[in-house]
Amino acid sequence: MPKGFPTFCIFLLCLYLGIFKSNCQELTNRNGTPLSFKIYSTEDNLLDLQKILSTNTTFIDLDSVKIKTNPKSVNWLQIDLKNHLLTLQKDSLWYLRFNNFEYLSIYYRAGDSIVAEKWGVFEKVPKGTSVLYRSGFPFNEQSLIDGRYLYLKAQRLTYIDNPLRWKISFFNRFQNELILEYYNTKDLGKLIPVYTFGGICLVIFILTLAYYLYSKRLEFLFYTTYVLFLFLYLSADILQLHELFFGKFNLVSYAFFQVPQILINLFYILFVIYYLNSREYYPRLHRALVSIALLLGLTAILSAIFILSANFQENIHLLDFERIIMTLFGLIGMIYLLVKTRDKLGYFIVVGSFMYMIGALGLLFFKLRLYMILGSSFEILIFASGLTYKIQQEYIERLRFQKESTMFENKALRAQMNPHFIFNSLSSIQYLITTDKKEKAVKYLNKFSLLMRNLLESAIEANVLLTEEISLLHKYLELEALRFNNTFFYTITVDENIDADIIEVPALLFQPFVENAILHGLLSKKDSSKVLRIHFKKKDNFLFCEIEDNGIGREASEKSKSLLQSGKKSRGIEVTEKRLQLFNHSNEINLSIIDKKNADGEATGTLVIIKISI
Amino acid sequence: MTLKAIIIDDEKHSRESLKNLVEEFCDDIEILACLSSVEEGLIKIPRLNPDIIFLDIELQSGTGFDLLDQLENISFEVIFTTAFEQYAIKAVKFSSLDYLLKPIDLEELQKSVEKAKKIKDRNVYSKQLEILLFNLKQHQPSLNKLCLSTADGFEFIEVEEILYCKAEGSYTTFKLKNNTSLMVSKHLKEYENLLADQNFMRVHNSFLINLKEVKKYIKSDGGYILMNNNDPVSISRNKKDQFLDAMNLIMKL
Repeated sequence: MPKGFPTFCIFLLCLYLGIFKSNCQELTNRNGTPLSFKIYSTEDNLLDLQKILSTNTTFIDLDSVKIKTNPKSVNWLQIDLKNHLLTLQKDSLWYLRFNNFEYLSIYYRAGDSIVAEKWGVFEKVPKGTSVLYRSGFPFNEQSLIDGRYLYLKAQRLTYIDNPLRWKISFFNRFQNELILEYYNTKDLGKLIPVYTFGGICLVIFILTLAYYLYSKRLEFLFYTTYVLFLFLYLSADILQLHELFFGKFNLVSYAFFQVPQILINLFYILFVIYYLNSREYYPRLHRALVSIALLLGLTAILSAIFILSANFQENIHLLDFERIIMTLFGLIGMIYLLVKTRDKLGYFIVVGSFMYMIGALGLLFFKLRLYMILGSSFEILIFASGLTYKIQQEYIERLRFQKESTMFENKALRAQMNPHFIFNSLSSIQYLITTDKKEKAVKYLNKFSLLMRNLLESAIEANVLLTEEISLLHKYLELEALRFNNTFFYTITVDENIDADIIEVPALLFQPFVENAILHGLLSKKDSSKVLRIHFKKKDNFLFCEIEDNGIGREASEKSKSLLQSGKKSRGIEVTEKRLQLFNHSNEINLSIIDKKNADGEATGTLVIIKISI
Repeated sequence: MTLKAIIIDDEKHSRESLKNLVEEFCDDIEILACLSSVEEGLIKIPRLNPDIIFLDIELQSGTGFDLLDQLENISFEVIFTTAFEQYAIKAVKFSSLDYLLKPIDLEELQKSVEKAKKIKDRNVYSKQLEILLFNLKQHQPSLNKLCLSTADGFEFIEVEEILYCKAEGSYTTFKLKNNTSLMVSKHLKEYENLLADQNFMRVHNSFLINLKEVKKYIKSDGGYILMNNNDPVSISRNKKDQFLDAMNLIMKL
């Protein structure tokens, strides 16, 4: 974590408190006059006020009975202004204010008839400059039904509510204007966290998106999406995005801002899968994560369908179910990770998820957005560090890998041309000089220098043309023949269907096997017919190189090793197989060594077959 | 007096080349025979009774060491020859025996022959060969016994006995557990290479220490090391981390 981070946090906090204290003085009393009301709950949506009044329906006092709303219940509220008639007469315009309901109709008297006006959040209602409040409903003494009542028909869709928490009051025009045109301390307390949160989201959104575009790594994409939905869900209403995107609040826009609460979880899970690389490192957790992700995807679709078809009751049940599952899974997942984590990445997930969960539960139980905003902000900050940590770790890892692969390449080259060969060849040339065989000495010195040149060049180029490799083998074999006084014969043949001027092979790949065949196969052989055969052929998309000798075989060769050599393991074959796998891009076996036997089971030499993809 | 010599090498050209060089450029030395295998050597050496053997380490039918191991009586001097410096040569260096690298350098050859002409203490010489074979039979890569060639002669010590080595110009002083010091006319670098994989570490330009004999690492005064005999040893700043890492590893063993 950067060193300045704590300082930055404290700075933000000071800023926040400073605005609180200095700029926001309570202008004047914004509180209206609270009104009492009685309630009549029914599920019959077709019922109208006339019917209710004519059937003498009794409205119940809220204190006498406990009522819980649900999306299907239609709540008729009877507001009695009998005690305030004197006040109302003082002015011709008053405003009735109440909680936000998704669906709301206000019944009042206009002339001789009773009129209903829709005032719910789905409707366009006059408002001032405040982003927090809608205008109250304008009325006066003449609007009262029976000279004392106003009726509200209210439906709550998003959650199950208790009417005891509802507050209805009336305001004079000055108070209404204060509410609509001015902010007070409490308002800022609501706004500042949302704007701050919006800012955090924006920065992280841009950073992770940019990193995704640069690295094409899915965890960054999913985190970007996660932050986006978190932002939509938590700040959409206050930032008035509905109006920006849709112009008007309707079922589609409602779904657009409700479904994100499921998508938040979905993309969070997807992020975790890629962040931890759970498929590889936590197979068990991975299966659980994938199932949960599928479940969440399904839930999101179902939720959208429920909302668009106005089945709000079902939607609430679905969301409750989803929250229980996510909380349980979250807890178990965190404990599992705490125990099983293989690196610090796991701890980032645990701490971040915990913060987020606390916030989400706070929102659920206290209906206070601030909890979730705080929780999510902490969570985002932790993951910002977590992602940075991962990038840094991978950078270190990549450096280490590069270092290793360079080392590996060096080793591969060193495993080639045996230094014994080099110095013994020079020794042979020294012999030609001491015996005054000038012409031969010059000739072999030339061959030797050509071979050295190839060797140095192959240190630069990993792959060479087959023709070059074959000419290198020729030079090498001539020098070995000189060194061992022409005690063996060799042939190099290439099938006609091979274009050796086009095919590329890993440099110096065959030479060690040829050297093995000579030193360990042929030279220890007692009789004189020592033959080495190198043959290239093509089959399908592969080039096969066969290196065959009629020497003593690997078993006998192993036995003749002594004091110094025994126990030494040849790493040459291992290194070659690695190089082949890299070159062929496959993990198959590309190198086979066959111990040839005659009918009596006696070793008759060794055959090495190397497979190279063309 | 003319020295009688035998060349053993499995490569004909190497044998011939060495023979030509010896005959043409070295005085008072006669090549009795050129042999090509361990078996041949076992038969012919006792019969020919040479003063010097030029012995190739890597032979087809085994190694030069196998030959020495199998001979009952070694009454000759050995000059090892090899094409490539590696583990085998390290063992030879441990016993302070003589060797030549192929292709043969004329000056080195002449020096070795001159050295061989000097009369040697047979007991010391056979001890050197003994150490060579002893070390070779150990499990790799720990070479346990070291022969140091000092001004007075040869000292045979166990590697474990060394506390640290200190560079004194082109000489190296060995500090041993029994509190004696030995001075050898070789660079410290030489011993660093020899002892590198036996828990020795070059902690300073002038010091090669036995990590198993470290008593304390003292941070003050820029940091130095206290050996088990309370000798302070300086440590280079850039070696500190490496030293502490190595110590951690050793503590775990």
